[in-house]
Amino acid sequence: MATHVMAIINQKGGAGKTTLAMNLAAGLSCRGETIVIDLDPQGSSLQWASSGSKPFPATVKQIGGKWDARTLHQNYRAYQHMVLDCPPSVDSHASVQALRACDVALIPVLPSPIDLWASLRLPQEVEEARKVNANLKAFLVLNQIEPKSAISAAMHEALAEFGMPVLQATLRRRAAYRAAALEGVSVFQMGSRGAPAADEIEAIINEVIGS
Amino acid sequence: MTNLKDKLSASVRMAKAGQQSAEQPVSAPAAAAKTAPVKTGATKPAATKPVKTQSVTTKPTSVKQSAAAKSKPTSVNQDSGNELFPSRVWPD
Repeated sequence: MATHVMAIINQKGGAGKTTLAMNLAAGLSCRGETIVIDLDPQGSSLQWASSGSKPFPATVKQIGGKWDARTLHQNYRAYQHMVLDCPPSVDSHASVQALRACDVALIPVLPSPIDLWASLRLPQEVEEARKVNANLKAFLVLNQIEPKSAISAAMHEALAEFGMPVLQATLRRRAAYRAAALEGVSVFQMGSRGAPAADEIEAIINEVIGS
Repeated sequence: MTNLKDKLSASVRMAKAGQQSAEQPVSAPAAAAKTAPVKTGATKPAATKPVKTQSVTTKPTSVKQSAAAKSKPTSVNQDSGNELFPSRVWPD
């Protein structure tokens, strides 16, 4: 069975790529063997997974240097799901290759004008990748939404300017996500504390896999 | 609320336009060159001429670079650029 590959990508740092990647991987690991490929030289995913008292439910590996989509698929074909945690640069070799290698690209965007502006190049990069990876699907994911905040409510309309589909499922701004990183676990391993966040991640998985 | 929505959407449109215009200088000379040969009445060469002008647009930059390179040896702060931005291999 072919590995289903998701790339978590954005030009901007701090958009929630690693948080989304790690928790998605934990959710996906309930469905099959899952690996997170940490493409960011900062190695946050790797650090996250290695700092927990409990083993992280997905394998996490960091890769650097030159690689391509084919070798990635060959090397990790034993896994059913692969999540690529990209560096905060769409020009980098890793990000370009990740867009060529993945089935789905998820672009987390924070409810802030600066984040919106910084993400404007993504649709272009996705189009470029589709020349090689014709079946690539890409979605914007609203992250750190605050339901009572006016700017969060205004985001949906502003994201329409991207000309790119936006996932219905969103992530709210929750302490559980930060606590999960600190404890080296996923929100799925946090019991009732992480339950609302785990539901959000599950909703994203269902929407993406069902898409 | 609607005001904020409009503002946010407008800011995205503006940023988009700014980004597109920032990319234009590369294509603008080529576009200008495309129209220019048509006026001269040339029929077939029109397609090849823009390519020439594009390479012309790159020449000034190379001239500038060489001028800068020439000035470097005489410059007192020759290495200041390297100190501020040490040469390094950026990670992929």
